[in-house]
Amino acid sequence: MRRLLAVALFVLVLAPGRASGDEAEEARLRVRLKPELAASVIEVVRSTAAQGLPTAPLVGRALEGASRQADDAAILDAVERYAAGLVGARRALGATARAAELDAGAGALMAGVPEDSLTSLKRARPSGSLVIPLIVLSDFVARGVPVGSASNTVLSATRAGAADPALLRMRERIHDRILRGEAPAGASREELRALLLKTHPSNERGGREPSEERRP
Amino acid sequence: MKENVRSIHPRTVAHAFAWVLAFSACALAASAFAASASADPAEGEALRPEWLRAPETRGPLAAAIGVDAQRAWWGIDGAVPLSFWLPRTRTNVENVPAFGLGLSVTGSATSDASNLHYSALIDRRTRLTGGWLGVATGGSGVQSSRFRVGTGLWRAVAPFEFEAGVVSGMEQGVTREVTHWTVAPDTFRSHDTTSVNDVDRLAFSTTAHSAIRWRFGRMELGAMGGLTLGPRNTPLRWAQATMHVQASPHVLVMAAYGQRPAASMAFEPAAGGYTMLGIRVAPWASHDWGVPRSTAPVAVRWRAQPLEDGGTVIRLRCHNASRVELAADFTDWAPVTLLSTGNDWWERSVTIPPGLHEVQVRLDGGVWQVPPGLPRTAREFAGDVGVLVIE
Repeated sequence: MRRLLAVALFVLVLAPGRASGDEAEEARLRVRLKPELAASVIEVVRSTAAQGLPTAPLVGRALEGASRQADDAAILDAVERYAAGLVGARRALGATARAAELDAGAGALMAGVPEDSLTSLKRARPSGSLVIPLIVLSDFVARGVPVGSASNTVLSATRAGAADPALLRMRERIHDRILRGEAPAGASREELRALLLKTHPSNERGGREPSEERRP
Repeated sequence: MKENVRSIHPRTVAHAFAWVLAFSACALAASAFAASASADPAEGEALRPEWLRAPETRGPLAAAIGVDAQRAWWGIDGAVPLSFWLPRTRTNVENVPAFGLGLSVTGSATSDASNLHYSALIDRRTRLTGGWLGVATGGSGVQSSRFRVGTGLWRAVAPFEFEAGVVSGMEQGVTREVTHWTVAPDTFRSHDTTSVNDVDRLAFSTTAHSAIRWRFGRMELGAMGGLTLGPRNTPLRWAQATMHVQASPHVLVMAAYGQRPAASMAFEPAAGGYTMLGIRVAPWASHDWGVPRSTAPVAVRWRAQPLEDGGTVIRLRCHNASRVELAADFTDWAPVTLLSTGNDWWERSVTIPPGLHEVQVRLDGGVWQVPPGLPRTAREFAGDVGVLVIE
């Protein structure tokens, strides 16, 4: 009975708001996009919403394309791919993932990070938010760190218990190293090693790539 | 027996060396202060020797005039980007090698069309290192050569820049021929008869140089020195100290003390061989091409502060900017203008719902860029965007 009451309360309080949010999103799309494109994008948005996935990133993609004068087909393609990315992110992160995590996860998948890496990240931090680790992962890839090294760096740091501020500080230091001319892969490896040594001073070999560890 | 007399006086060279040493000591001391303020190059800051023509730092064409202790001179130089696959005004943060072609023509006040000096070089550069290879010919008098070939390397370690190069070629030089004749009318008497003639002669010569430059704001101080090996293999030392001030995006004021041989300036159209004063004008310095980095608008700090009413104040600190815009998913990617609040800060209050957001900023109508300090991610249409998390 108490459960039913909670569901009813949810429907009363949130459902109207959600409906008005959807209407507002659709209105924004209709104002900025051509009618045919708006209809196609709205169809994708509704389909995504029906799966319980966040729709704001899809609206953002469409409006981003419109403001940069992208052609209609490219905009629709980008929206559809991001919707697929959200589905993939939920598959990798689990049904309990929050909207921001799904958004960050889809961004990482779009950047070329495999779903397996997201799943490993979820296992490394099962209860905490993955928003910052996923943002840091996408940032590394955008700065030229190879996807494998970027995934390994964030995963190793998260497994070692690095909190979000530590991850963000590592990101800044890697960024500084890259600006000074260091190779992105080397910069991420060195900073991961430094972070792991700080976390576990006894782990002197921390941060090495698995392939390096196998070397004689 | 012949004897060469060089046109550069050794005492003046020693004097210039003393100046350069003193200058270098001052520069090194000052660097300790500068390093604490800006040890690293800012994101997006392209580093390179100013003389290597770079359209992305001052447009495709520039002209220089100057006077030195010997003559008035002028130079025109152009630069063509050869890396067509790279966006011209895009920051080379990824360190992708880029190539450029530089062309120049120089002359003196008395030059006619037949004795102008021409040079062409190809340079390869990443963000912090580069190299060049060039050929040159022409000139008049002691400045002239039939053919010169040069190469060099540079490396930036902000705020310093190190450079080394070598130029070889057939140099025109005034050679004083001293001829001794021993006259012996008979076995008991003899005497020397000496005749001296100045002759213009081509001779193979190699000049090696190195330079250190220190940039602080709009000013650049430099010290350059080198050796020239002539036909007799007696090394000639030379040195010059320089000061450049970027008066505006279009105008560079140049001054130098000391001497440089013509070979070391063969690829540098805005340099004087002696103590000199000059000015370089780059009429097409613009956002479409590029402006000198000391005058380029640059965003240095980003702040997003939540307000009690649920809004958020976006604050951005920018140097040299006269217009600052922001576009983000929470503005539906429509540009909104930030207002100046003084001391290089710009701000605007916006409503940002909780969650993950993407944002870009644009200074003076330039390229959209990631706000400083924000994590970035790549997007299909906007390129790299900053990621903002609102709790």
